Amino acid sequence: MSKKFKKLCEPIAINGMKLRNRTALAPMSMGYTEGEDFMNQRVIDYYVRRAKGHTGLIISGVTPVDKRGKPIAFMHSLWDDTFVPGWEKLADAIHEAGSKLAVQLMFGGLEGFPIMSKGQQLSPDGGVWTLIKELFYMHPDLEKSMFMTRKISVEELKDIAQKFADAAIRAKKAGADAVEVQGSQGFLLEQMMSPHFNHRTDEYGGSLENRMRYTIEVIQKVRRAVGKDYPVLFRMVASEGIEDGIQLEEAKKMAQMAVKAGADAIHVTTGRGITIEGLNYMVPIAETGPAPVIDQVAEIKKVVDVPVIGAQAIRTPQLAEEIIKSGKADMVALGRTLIADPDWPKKAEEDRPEDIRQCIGCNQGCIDNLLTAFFADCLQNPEVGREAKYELKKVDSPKNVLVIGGGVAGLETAVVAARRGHKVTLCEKGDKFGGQWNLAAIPPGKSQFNAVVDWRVHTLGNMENVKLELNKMVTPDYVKGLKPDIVIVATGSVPLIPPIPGFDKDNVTNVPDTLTGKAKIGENVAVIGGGACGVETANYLLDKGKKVTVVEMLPEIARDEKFARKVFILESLEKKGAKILTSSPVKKITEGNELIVRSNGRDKSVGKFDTFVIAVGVKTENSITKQIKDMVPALYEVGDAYANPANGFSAIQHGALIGRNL
Amino acid sequence: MWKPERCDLCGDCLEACLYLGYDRERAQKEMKALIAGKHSSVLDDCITCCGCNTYCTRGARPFDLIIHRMEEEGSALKKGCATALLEVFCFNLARNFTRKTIKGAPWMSICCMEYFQPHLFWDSKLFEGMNIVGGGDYFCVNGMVHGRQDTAVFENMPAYVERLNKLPTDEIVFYHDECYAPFFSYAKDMKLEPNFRPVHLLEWLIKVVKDNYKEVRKLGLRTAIQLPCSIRCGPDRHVWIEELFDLLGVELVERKYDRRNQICCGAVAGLGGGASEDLSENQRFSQEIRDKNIADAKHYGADHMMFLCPFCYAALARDAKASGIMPVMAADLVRMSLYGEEPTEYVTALERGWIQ
Ligand SMILES: Cc1cc2nc3c(=O)[nH]c(=O)nc-3n(C[C@H](O)[C@H](O)[C@H](O)COP(=O)(O)O)c2cc1C
Ligand code: SF4
Repeated sequence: MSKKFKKLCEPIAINGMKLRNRTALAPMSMGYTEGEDFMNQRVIDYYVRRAKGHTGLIISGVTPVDKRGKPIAFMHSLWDDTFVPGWEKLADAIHEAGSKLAVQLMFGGLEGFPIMSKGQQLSPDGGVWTLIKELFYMHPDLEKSMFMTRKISVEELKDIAQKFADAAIRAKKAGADAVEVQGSQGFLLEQMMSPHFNHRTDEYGGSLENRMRYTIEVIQKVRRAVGKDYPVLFRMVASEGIEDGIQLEEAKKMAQMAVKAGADAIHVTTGRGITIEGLNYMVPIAETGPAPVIDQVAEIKKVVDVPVIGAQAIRTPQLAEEIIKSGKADMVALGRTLIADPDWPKKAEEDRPEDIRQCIGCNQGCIDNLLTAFFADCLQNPEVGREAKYELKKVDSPKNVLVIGGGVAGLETAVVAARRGHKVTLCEKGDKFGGQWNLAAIPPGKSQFNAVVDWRVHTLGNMENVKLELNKMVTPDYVKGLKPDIVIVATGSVPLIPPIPGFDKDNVTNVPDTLTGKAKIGENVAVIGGGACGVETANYLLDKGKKVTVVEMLPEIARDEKFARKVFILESLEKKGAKILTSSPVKKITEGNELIVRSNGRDKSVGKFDTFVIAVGVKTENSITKQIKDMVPALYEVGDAYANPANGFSAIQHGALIGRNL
Repeated sequence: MWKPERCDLCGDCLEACLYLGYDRERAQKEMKALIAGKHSSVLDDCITCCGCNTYCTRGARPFDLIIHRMEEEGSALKKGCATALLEVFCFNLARNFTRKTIKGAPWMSICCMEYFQPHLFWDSKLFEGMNIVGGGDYFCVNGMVHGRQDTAVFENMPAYVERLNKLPTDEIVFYHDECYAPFFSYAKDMKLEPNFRPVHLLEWLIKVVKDNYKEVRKLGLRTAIQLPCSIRCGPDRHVWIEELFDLLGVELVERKYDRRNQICCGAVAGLGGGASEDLSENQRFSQEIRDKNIADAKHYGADHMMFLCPFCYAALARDAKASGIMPVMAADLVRMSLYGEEPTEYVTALERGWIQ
């Protein structure tokens, strides 16, 4: 048992439900169901993998208690008895792994696509979900009525409260150890509690008592349905981060009222709902820093006498231990933290925090994919959602694998190959592993991104079947000498500099040289190319006090960033005064350092600049392949070296796939 | 693109339309009005099925004229939200991704199909080992014509072709018929040259089946087909369908609403891009078309219905199932035959909502 994380690893009981330690999987809807939303093997594998990593309590992702309350596609459901057998299977498997299961019961309310519920979307006030306004309202050709929700009637409220109770009975019948009433993330109960969402004039609107009335009714109904000895958790918000929303002072009273109504534990996070800004508030990105709401959780803990679970961006056992030890919370809920490393609790128990693959708060693999492809993935952990298929199997006859290039694709391939038992030599020509990924960690607030490289280098460094070499330029002779069975070419890419007049001038540079400080940057800078790479570089330069203009060929910038990062970066550029020019393909840089673009069918100057940073993409660099491919039995290219389009996410995914095929 | 020099005002195209119900005289009159840039009832009542492009034997592309005129008249703004849905979901939101595998493996573009079959491309043996790109960047936006406009399609086409040109391959398989079609219509009109050969999914499936012929389990199905509007451009898909069905032991059920008589799946009407400004009227009309469609397939004894477009599937799957006809995508038939996989019932969630 752990010496370093004694408190974290201590058992705890919630109304008789004994948990092996203080960790809970934060509820996350991963989108792994299909079709009619029955529990399937993919979902079970995902949860059970976290249970096997010694998570104390597995809290399921949102589980609609009624068809009308299902906001987006693909959520495991519990609105009638036909769903029960699937949940039984899940509960059994989780118990077998030594964990407990709580089912998070929810009704979407305002959040959801009315077109999906056939115009049956119900909300406290009627009206339209903010996300829909944000996504669609710029379109004049939108049939707005398709997105209007209907104001929920008192009878409907009673009916839905009963549905919560019915679903709770089903959860209990299926063998789940607890239920969690979902009163956060901007779903119906939060909406009813929040002065921001709820402007009703009946007994459910207005004063705190009135706004809490519905939540209390739901908790009481659930309590009555499951009996007094069955744990009922309540997830609620400490604040909504908006002026007219729920504030901490009110939240404290709400927590007390929920406990009085029958909640056995209070699970605290933030709310406001799935809107572009709300997402950043509820699922904070790296730049927000660790545990942003824990002090508010602590305030709530002071006023209730039941266990309190604190959530959000708790990435290390050190921090978790500190939170529990100092009495800020009794348990920690780990969301993305456990997506990125399902063995996090086990590693804490074994006092190996350095072995943890930390979530980097990129939101790229999880949240963005959930909203743009309807299923969550992870940049750090390519195994998530494909646990069965991607389980690492040892090889019968280990081979000698030479990996050329220590960027993220090479590192991931090496990790997977080495864990499967191959003998791996990894050669990097530079003096540091990580390649271009290191650039991603340079812009302001992004140091957490280093965890991608750090974890892989740390893991490889501890394996006996791995040899790591820095400052090692691989030549055909070296390969001849080493006689590897398999070569992995992971030599990445080089900045693409298109053949445009003036791009060969001395004051024209590229992204890597800019971010590493190798290039001399003048005061007035044009960043040519407004994709992710261009805008992040612009943000960096603005922080250095430069005057920055971003010039993009397409009608929008940051097209390849979504939601959280996109909003963050666009706001940041605006705040810091960047000038943005879109639909402006660059034609040339003149002798006098004027930048000429094509705009509305004619060439025009957009001003004079001291330095030009080209950020229009990269070119595959794999020249070593040709030189050595006839010398070795097998050769694979991974990541950028394999093909464009290139980014860190696909490079790691590629390494994970190739490594499993060796 | 409309080719005025090829039109002899015969009226064949509009007379053949399955929805307008014009006689020859009316057809000629409305065509004249369209050409003259005057208002025509076609602009109100057309459901954007693209059929007239094939009814015109002289290749004048009357449908392209209709869409162009619709946009000029601003009917796109008045009618429905198909465009907004497509633009937001498919173009802006669909995640761009590249699944890389090993050199020499085929490249496939799946556009926004992850929305419909999120796990298929990762799980099925059929796609194992393929390089796959997808997302908004690989959306040709051809579907915008159902939102009664074509400017967006023309505007996006250069970037669409350019992004595909960048892939390191000389052949690209298109999972969705509609992504393949522009190389015979918009891209061609704009003289945008792909540096790869566009490969239709059916062509590729035939090759896979032939390469693995030993593994083929004859399916013994009676399958009707529902082809999408995009087949109105490019080579005749029936030739491939017949060959594939033959290889898989599938009997092609010929029916009334087939080939030249093919009717719309109803998706467009249901999405709100339909002819009426009243959404419920569009839904009703969509249901009417779907009922006809399924009843016809049933009447001719089909037990399966095969699709090349996920929207067609989405529109018809539920009703087909209800009358005992199993909906399948073309690739599903090959997955069933070669690997014993089940067809994925992938769009139920969308089907429940998008198309009512
Ligand atoms: C992919 C994803 C899905 C989520 N789904 C839910 C959900 O179903 N219910 C819920 O209460 N919170 C949900 N959340 C919020 C998390 O429970 C958690 O509060 C948040 O991610 C912050 O914690 P973390 O930093 O540990 O991830 C989700 C978060 C993510 C990343
Ligand atoms: S995708 Fe990024 S933010 Fe999401 S869990 Fe993985 S590392 Fe964390």
